Amino acid sequence: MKALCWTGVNKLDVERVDDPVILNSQDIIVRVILTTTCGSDLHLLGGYVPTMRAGDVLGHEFLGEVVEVGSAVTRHRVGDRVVVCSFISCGKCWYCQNELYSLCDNGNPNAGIPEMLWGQAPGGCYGYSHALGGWAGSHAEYIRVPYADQGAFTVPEGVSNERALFASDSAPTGWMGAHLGGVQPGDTVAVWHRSSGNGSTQRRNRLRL
Amino acid sequence: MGVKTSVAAGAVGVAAGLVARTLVRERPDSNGDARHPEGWKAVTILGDDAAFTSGGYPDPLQRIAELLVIRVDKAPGDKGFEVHARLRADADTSTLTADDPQRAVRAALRDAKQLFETGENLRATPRPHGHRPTTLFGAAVDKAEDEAKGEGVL
Repeated sequence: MKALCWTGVNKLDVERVDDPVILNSQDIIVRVILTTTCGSDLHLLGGYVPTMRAGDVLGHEFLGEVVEVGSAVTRHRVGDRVVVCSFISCGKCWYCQNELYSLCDNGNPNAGIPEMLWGQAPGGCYGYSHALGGWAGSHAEYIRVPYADQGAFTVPEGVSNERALFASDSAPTGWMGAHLGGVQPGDTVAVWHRSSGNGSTQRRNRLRL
Repeated sequence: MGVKTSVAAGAVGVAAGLVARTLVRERPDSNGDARHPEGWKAVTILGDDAAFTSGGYPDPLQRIAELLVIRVDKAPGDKGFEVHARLRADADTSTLTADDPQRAVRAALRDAKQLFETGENLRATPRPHGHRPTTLFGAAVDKAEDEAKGEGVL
């Protein structure tokens, strides 16, 4: 398949890479329909995240069609249209049970790297360096989604791809900004951000007001 | 932003990470992040501790259990239970595949926790990737990833 690969600081190439395969029983394979660039991709592109490897496939915000399902997956079938959370979370550890999915204990197979660098490990994230698991990203024709019952969500009929796509990262990021900021009806807010999360934050603020 | 600025910023990030790592490693033994003076390592697992020990430990830990002293304690609050392990003083570590026996203990604890909590051990490779040129930095990332499961603050 074709994929957009990071090849060095401020360098990207579209390359031919192997197709992803099911490796665990809780995996699904998704044919990517839409994938979008996040502001945080710029951190990778610009070389600010030191555990990128030339050839890494970028992308962590996407929507697609399920084309293959692992034997333990119960919530998804081939043909389903799904939007997938950027972080890979198991749904079973203490962090997941407390809705702190980006801190999942089990979604980052390289937890030792951030623990050595920063003293603690975040969860795994698609296309976001080897410190966050080295997972192949979504700027590709296909992507493997581990723990699919936890992190992939079927898109309801009547919701367009373009609207559902941003449930992957941008919209919840914006919502989190408004939530953490304690935005209340009547508040005047200023938003500092430079990516699609900016628009989402403004929209979430409107919805909360 | 220019390449030089990006590289400089990246270097600053790496330096900050190394400083942070040094600080973590030089903390007193009592804070839980430093190496335990007796070599104990531990993971916290959500679930029923009786199920964890029933009929032997989960396979990744059971495989090397005869080389270890293992202790299971209740974790604080609602966090489940803690599994502590250290190598026996007389353990024959020649059977371990890892160069450093401590890495084998960390990996066994991590894998046992994951297997118990999620029902399987997550496989990360093979995965799609583009051309991997041979570079010093790339080799460093590859090595860090190869050893990641056996490293960290356990």
